[in-house]
Parts: sequence; C-alpha cells; structure tokens
Amino acid sequence: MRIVVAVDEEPYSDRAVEEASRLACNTWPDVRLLAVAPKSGTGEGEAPQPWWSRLQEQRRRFLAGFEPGSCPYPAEEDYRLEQGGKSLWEEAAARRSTPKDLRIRLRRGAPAREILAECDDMGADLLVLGCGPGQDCSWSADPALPPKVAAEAPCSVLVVKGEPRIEQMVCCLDQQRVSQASLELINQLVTLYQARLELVGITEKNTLKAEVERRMAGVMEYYAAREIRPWLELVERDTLPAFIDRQAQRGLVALWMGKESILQKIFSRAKVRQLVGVSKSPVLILR
Amino acid sequence: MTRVLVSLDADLASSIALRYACQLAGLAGMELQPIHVEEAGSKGSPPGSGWVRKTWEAALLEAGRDEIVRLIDAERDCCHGRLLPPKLCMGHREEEILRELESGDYDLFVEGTLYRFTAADFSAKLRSRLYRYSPCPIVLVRNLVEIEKVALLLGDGISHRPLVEQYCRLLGEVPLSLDLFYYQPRHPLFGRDALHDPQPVLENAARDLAKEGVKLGRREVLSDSPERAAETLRSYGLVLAGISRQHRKGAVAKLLGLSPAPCLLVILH
Repeated sequence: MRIVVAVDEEPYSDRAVEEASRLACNTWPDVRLLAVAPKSGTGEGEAPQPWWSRLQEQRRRFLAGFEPGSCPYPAEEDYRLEQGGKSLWEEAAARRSTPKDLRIRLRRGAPAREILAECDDMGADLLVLGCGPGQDCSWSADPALPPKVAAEAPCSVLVVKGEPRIEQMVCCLDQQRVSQASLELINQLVTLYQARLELVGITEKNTLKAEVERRMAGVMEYYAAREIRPWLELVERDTLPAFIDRQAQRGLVALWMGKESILQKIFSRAKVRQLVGVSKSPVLILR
Repeated sequence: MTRVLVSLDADLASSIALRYACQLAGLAGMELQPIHVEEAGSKGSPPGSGWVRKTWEAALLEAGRDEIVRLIDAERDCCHGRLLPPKLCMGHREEEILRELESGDYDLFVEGTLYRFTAADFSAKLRSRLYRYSPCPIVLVRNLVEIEKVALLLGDGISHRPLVEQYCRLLGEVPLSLDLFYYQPRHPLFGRDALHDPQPVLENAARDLAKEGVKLGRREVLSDSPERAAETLRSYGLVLAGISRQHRKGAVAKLLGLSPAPCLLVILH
C-alpha cells in the first residue's frame, strides 16, 4: 500500500498526519509526506523555509505514533536531503535497512495540481489530507483544495476533518467489482476507529441487482470472518443524496466510486466537493 | 419446545434470517421449521395446464429445493437450535405461509428483509394479509446482530399485557438484558402534556414483568423524532412491539419502520 499525506502549515494537517500514522501502524504502507510551497523566481538550492522544517516536524509526528522497536520506517537520523529537480526536494533514508519507505517531499507550484501529480507519481493507493472545521473544509493557501483533490484524485482519498471519534462508516456499494485493497482499507479504518460498519446497497426501482446482492453477501462474509458484523441497508438511487447528507452528519462516509459505479454519475465532482464540505466527520472516497 | 416457522428464499435476506433464527433457537431452545414457497409467477407465466403445467411446477420446485437445501446446509453447523428438513410448496407465498402457520401450531414466524432507508417497505408488510392475520408473533430480521439486549416498546393505545405475555413465553427463561421504552414523540404544538401519561403504563408493565421474574434494566420514555429514536433502538438485538390494525400508521409503527434492528411484532387482533 502506498500513501501520500498532503500537509500545509495549519493544525488540521497535524491531525491528518496523526491519523495516517495510526493507519500506518496497522498497514505498514510506503508513505510520502508532501508539502507544496508557492512558486518563486529561484528554484535551485536549499529547500525553502519554513516549509522544510515544518515537513521534518510532521515526520517526527508520524514516527511518534509507533512503539519503539516496532517501527517499519527508518529512524529520524537516517534521512538525507536531495534535490530531485528544479522545484522538488526530498529527504529519504540514505541506506534503507527497514521494511518500509518513508520520505518527505516538497514541491513548488499550485498546491492542488502538485498533490494530484504526486499521487500519480507515486502510484498512490490513498491520499490523506486534513482540512479546517466548518462547512467550507478549506486549506489556508487554497481554500477549495480539499474538495477539489477529493473529487479529482486518481486514488482513494481520506479527508480528515471534524470529530476524531468516528462511530460509523457508511460504505455505498452499487457494483459487483470491489477491489481487495478497498475492502482491506475499510477493514483497517473500522478497526482503527472501532466504528460500526454499514454496507449500503443501491437499488433502482426498488430492485437490488442480483450481482450487487451477491457482492453484499460476499463483503458481509469477508468482514464476518474478521469479526466485524456490518449492518446492511438498501437505498433507492433517487434518495441516495438525501441519505448521504444525513449520514455525513453522523460518521465517516465511504463511497466506492469505481468507473462502473452509478455513484460516479449521481455524485458528480461538484457533489463530492459538497459532501466533503458538509460532512462533520472524515470522508473517504474509495476508487 | 417453541416451534418456529422460518421463511426462506435463495437470497441474502433469508440467509440473515436463518442465522438470526439459529441464534434465537440456541438461546431459547427452539425448533426451526424452514419453509420455501415457490411462486409460479416469479419465473415467468406457467405453460398450459394439466400434466404440462404439473411437470413445469415440479421442475421449479426441485430447483428451489436445491437452493434452499444449500442455504440450510451452509448454516447447519453453526445452528444451535433443532433445524428440521425444509417444507416446500408451490403457490402464493403469503397464503401458503398463513396456511402453514394455522395448521402447524407454530409459536413464532421468522422472515428476513433487507433494511431500507425509507419505511415504505415496512408499511407494506404491515398492510399485508400475512401480518394482519398471522396467528403468532412475527420476527422481522433486517440485520444480523447479537441478541444480548432486548427492548420492549410500548406506545399510546397499545396494551402492555400481550407483549409481556409473549416475552415471558418466548424469552422469559433466557438471561437477557431487557429495557422498557414508551415511545411518545413530542407533539409539535402541545409538547407532551396533551398526550396520555406514559408513566402508569411503564409502571404496570414493569410490575407484570417483575411478577414473572424478569429483571428489568432501563425504563424510559422516548420522545425524539422517529429517526433519532430508531438510532436508540439500534443497539438492541431484538425490539418487541405490538401492532394492531388501528396502530399500523401510528408512532410506534413509524419508529419500527425506521429501525434497522430485528423486531418481534405481536399482532394485536
């Protein structure tokens, strides 16, 4: 598993790093902590401050989530700075002696574009980022960034916001194919937050497609084998936006948005942005 | 031994209902009789009449039997109650089940349905002949949950006696935690003052339960919106409530329609 954690200089990014660290304790992914500094005339030379020291601080925060002796990432003193290009700085372990890779990276440019490029570049499975409280879920440098990247990222996105306590995860399922990585990610998050899992089958004209029902049964068995007993619910396609709005007030909402998913049609990019905005708790978009 | 009729089709809702029934049977020592009704119309129009039609129906029933036997076999090892071989018949589902319930002297009927965001499905069930004329209580399983806590739900105009009686008959011997609720949503104009006083009903129900040796946990009036009250009931493995013709559209029915927890409906004739 590969995770990009996008941070800026605000406290909500601290929480995103802490949540990513908690997730990493269970899943041992390769991780990149990424910040994006504004463009400037000179690109060469030393990494721009205060961005760089902020990233180093976030790395310390990330590593602090692990018990001594059980950390799969290189220790704090093993990292060396490299300039990977005109507008890219990176610190990675000079010689890797640990099973997993952790690096901090600083890019220059438009934040949303650079974050999406980093996800592409790494082949990330998950992007984690925080955002400010309230309806706008904004970033200080680019207020519209979190909803924008949630809607456009090529990978799954976890937007960490609101109450850290998550009581339920609502996962909408409308297609036969659900990747193993998505199932495992949900599993990890349910375990991490000790949350109730709700699997939602989407019906059309009050009918649940036979293949979706089979898939729901399969997913239920998958979680039952992991001692997670999901709740099942059917939601008519037309009432889905109202349903999601209601659930967004209560707990983490996870939407499976594969290419074949009708969620892709119902939840246009604008709706995803709106969901990320109105939700009082974290939002997970699974792709 | 308590006799339970469990309606099965080859689907997820039935699989959940059977697992839940097995759990219930393990707790309270029940005997489970699965039944599957093959509805001719569900697989296209029946061809012709006489021998041709009979052969076609026999083939349908045989295919249905295979699916149901597979479903039962998958659960048999984990089923703690006594699980009898399934009964299969051809016809109208509700009519056949009603006939079996009347002739078989069952104490309980169990069926599964997947929980829906809107309560329309539940209202349709309450209007059905099966729910209006069932000679025994019905367990409607909408989710597979552990039966650790049971809620007994009362409301305006619903007598507590048949509910207490059924609880004691079916689950009285089982060491479960039982909470007593009276659902009386706050009136938008008059608050709660203009409605019946729920306290005497709660006290009487608690007294009758205590007489039967049932230990009671919470005793509370719920006055939230149906959505919020349904959330309160979510943590229960079973919600026991009474439904009568007059109360099919009442506050308790509305609440049950929105609750994802399994419910035991005592039909009040």
